[in-house]
Amino acid sequence: MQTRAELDRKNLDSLENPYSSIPAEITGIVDESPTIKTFELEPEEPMKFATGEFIQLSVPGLGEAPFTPSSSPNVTDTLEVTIMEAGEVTGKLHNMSEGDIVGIRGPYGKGYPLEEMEGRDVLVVGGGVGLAPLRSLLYMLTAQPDDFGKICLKYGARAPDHLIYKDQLDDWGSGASEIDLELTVDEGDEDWEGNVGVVTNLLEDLDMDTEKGVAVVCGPPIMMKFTTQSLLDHFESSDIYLSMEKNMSCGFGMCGHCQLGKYYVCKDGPVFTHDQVKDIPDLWE
Amino acid sequence: MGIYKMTDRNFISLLDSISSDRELFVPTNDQEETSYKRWDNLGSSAVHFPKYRLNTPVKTFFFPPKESVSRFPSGDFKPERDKRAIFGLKQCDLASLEVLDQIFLDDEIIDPFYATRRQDTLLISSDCYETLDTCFCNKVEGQPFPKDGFDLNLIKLPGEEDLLVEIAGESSLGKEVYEANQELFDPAPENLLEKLSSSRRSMEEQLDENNDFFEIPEDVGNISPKHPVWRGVAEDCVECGACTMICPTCHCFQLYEQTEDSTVNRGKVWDSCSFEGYSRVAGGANPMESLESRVRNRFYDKFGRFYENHDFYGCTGCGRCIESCMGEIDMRDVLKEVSVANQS
Repeated sequence: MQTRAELDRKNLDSLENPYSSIPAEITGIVDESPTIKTFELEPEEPMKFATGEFIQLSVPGLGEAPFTPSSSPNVTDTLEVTIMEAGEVTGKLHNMSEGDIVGIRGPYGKGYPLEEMEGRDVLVVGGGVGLAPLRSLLYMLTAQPDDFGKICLKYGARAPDHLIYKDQLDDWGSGASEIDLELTVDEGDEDWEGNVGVVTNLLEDLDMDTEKGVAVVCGPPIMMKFTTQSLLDHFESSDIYLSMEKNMSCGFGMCGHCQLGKYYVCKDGPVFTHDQVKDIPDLWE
Repeated sequence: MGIYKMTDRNFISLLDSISSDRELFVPTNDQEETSYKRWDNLGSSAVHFPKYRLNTPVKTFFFPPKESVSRFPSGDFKPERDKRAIFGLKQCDLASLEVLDQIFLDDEIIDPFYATRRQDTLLISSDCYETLDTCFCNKVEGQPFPKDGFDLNLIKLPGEEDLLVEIAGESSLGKEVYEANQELFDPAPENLLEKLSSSRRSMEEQLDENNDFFEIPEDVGNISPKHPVWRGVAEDCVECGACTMICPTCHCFQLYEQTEDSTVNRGKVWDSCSFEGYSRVAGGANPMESLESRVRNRFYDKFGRFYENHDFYGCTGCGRCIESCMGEIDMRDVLKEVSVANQS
């Protein structure tokens, strides 16, 4: 914190306004599933971010919602966000078209600690739209595969047509990729020949060095809860990274909404180790 | 800088001098100790030394209930600079600003609206000469007189004609005022300083006596959410939000947007964890849907989360929440119940 004496010496006229968004044009839209779309955004000025950090995206005049970009931080002119239609802002976003203007500000929070993953096997577990921030992480892991050990992705969705990033999943599952991919769906359809069941079913026999490895999880709360329970059989609590989600307004620890135990999710997270949050009552409510 | 004597007449001259350069707010001589008014709208006889803190929390000067913070698409929106002075602040008011400083003057991101008002405002405090039944600053590491955080502390001991003036050593604004008005300051006589010590001691004793019935338990953040005390509080709470609005340290807000012509205005408006929608996310999930979870949040926040992160309480013991509560919830009783149960 700044002391009053430090504040008195500061030239406040040059302070940045953290509440201001910059315009960004929608330059591409991909339909991922019946309820999920990926938007490519081209901000007026490039916005640098680290994988796992989030931005506040606004529909001008309506309001904002937080999203972790699903694209690689190495791509700087544009960024992608993958959005499930869930409320007012996301509903309006789903009705927007290429060429429309949105606002963005950020990035905020603490993302995935790549340095902690160096030289270790990495298990990535995603559920539904929760694969979005994980895709950004996977881009970073595969950009320098020699820096990391084995990369395993276990991904589950409600049904085959709810699996997102189908092109990437085809690549990752092709055998030519560094990623060892396994998919599952809660309910198959007539064309589905793969696993049926919850994603935790894929965590029983892990073909990787879990003792020295790390696990990264993102998905709906119920999936996170059971996945974490299952992972604790294999991984240290401090090696399990969880993406927490709460109501957020400001994005930088002032508005109070995203409190989680002694933390604010926006500032201290959104990525936490299980060890940081395990004692918080009603963690998954 | 030190402590000085000032005559009553020089005190008025000092306020005049300050108001020539700043918008000055003073407590008015209402029957109730209620609010601040602008000095230039009042006769000098209307200003008085409040016995204890006013009803209005000082946060309203720095973090108003509603304000514009940005425009879109231009993004160009700066805080207005207004030189201000506030007289009549008590130690609990100054302590509340220390809490808000932790939030709004963060190392990484500074709220420019709060910061400019903070830099532009001269803080003139005074001692407490009476305590309210609801005051409990002594239990949250405070005391009924300012030790720091002020620019000037003006003390008018009951029955005394002359005032004592303390100028904070680290305050550049206080020094500025002193240097511009040196002729109004006299050396402080020993007998007045002795009277000051004894007045402060007696206020402290009174607070100790009033509040000897409870202690703030350790580790409030880890008190079980299933503790029966929360259900009791939830039964009395009517979800009006008064406790959070009048609380000098509650800082929750919501950003909102409004379109005028083709410009989007983004604003900040106070929010409250007493309200049902406080933690609702898109899609409908609401981790703090139950009233019990919301009433206990205030305690977790001020005595748990804030304490763990900043090493001092997020509550100043001003007692405004106790006074304002329609359900007659007294934070001290709740803390007492919690400690008793924790010991058993």
